[in-house]
Amino acid sequence: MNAKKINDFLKKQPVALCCAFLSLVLAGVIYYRSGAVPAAASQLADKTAEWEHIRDNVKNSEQLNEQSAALTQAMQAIEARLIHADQLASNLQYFYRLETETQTKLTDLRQIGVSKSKTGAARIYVSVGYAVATQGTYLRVMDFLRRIENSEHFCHVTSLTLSHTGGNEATGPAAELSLRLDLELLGAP
Amino acid sequence: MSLLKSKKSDRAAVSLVPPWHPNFRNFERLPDVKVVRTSFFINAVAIVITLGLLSYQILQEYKVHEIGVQIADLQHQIDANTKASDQAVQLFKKFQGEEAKTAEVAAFVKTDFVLSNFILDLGRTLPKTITLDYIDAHENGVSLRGTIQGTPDQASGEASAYIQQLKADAHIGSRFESISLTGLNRGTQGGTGLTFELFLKAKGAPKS
Repeated sequence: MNAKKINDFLKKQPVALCCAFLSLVLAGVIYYRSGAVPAAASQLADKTAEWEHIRDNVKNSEQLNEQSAALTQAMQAIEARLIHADQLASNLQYFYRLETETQTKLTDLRQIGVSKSKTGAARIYVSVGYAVATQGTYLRVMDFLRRIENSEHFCHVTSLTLSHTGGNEATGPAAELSLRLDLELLGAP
Repeated sequence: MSLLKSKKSDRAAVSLVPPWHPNFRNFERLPDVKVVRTSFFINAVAIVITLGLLSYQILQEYKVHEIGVQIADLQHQIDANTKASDQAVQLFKKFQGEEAKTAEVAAFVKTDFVLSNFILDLGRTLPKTITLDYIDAHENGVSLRGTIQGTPDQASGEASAYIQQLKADAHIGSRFESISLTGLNRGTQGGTGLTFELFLKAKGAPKS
């Protein structure tokens, strides 16, 4: 009896029946597609982040070419001032040229070793140690020291001893002094 | 009298009873005479629910479509700029490498203690009665040896005054943690004057 009533009711309500069927289908579709918006939003967030990263890279690199070119040029100038530890004759020639220019007399000149640069965390370059002893008047010795400190090579004086030359009785500007230096020159690796 | 009274009370009782008649209507066979039929409400509710669900799903799909359009737009921009970005990244890595080299060179040559300037400062502050014979500068500090002219009494006073002068000097005193006299002896040549030895301890140098 109930089934007959339901059947009659359904026959009387075809629109409602269709709507109910459509609603069921739509509910299924809604359930099936419920993750589409969050997934698309997540993908959009990822793409936005990627785009912002790329955009920042491009924006921040607007002057990078010029800056890199300037730095490269500076690096070429720096590398021209580095010494090469294995080129002993060339390295010692630098000190002999200073001797000539300052009119001092080198009494000791030794390349005492190569070590990694103590300064800087990167330790890209090496420092080449030298023991240098020279003699001359105060003005000439000071000239020698000044030229060493401001040399064409990158120099770091680690210790200095300045004293009267033994047996020299002269005083004042004519006094003969002995200058002993331990220094490091920055060298190419 | 009593009869009259009873007739009056019967009429009152009859007037209180509702008029009675039989109801022969068969409701199942009678037509639906409601102004708004039940099926209208059923259909309306069903259509509203269906349209609501449909609208919701269309809105969701529209949102997905909109996001898809935005993603496609971003992807287009990403594709157009990826090459430039990669080049920039590579160039920046090269830049960083060279920057590290310059930083190392700068750290190597950086010093706030120029020895030639220090020697000139010593010469500038040196009293006429004192002669420096030996300067030894190293990581921990500077040793000075020299001679003070005059009688021992005068010379020892000169030594103290020289130390105070070095400490007070803006270019020398501020560079060292302490300046101390480590030796004071009679001169070996002819007995006049005193030889002295000073140690100027560098700031941060380990205690000896």
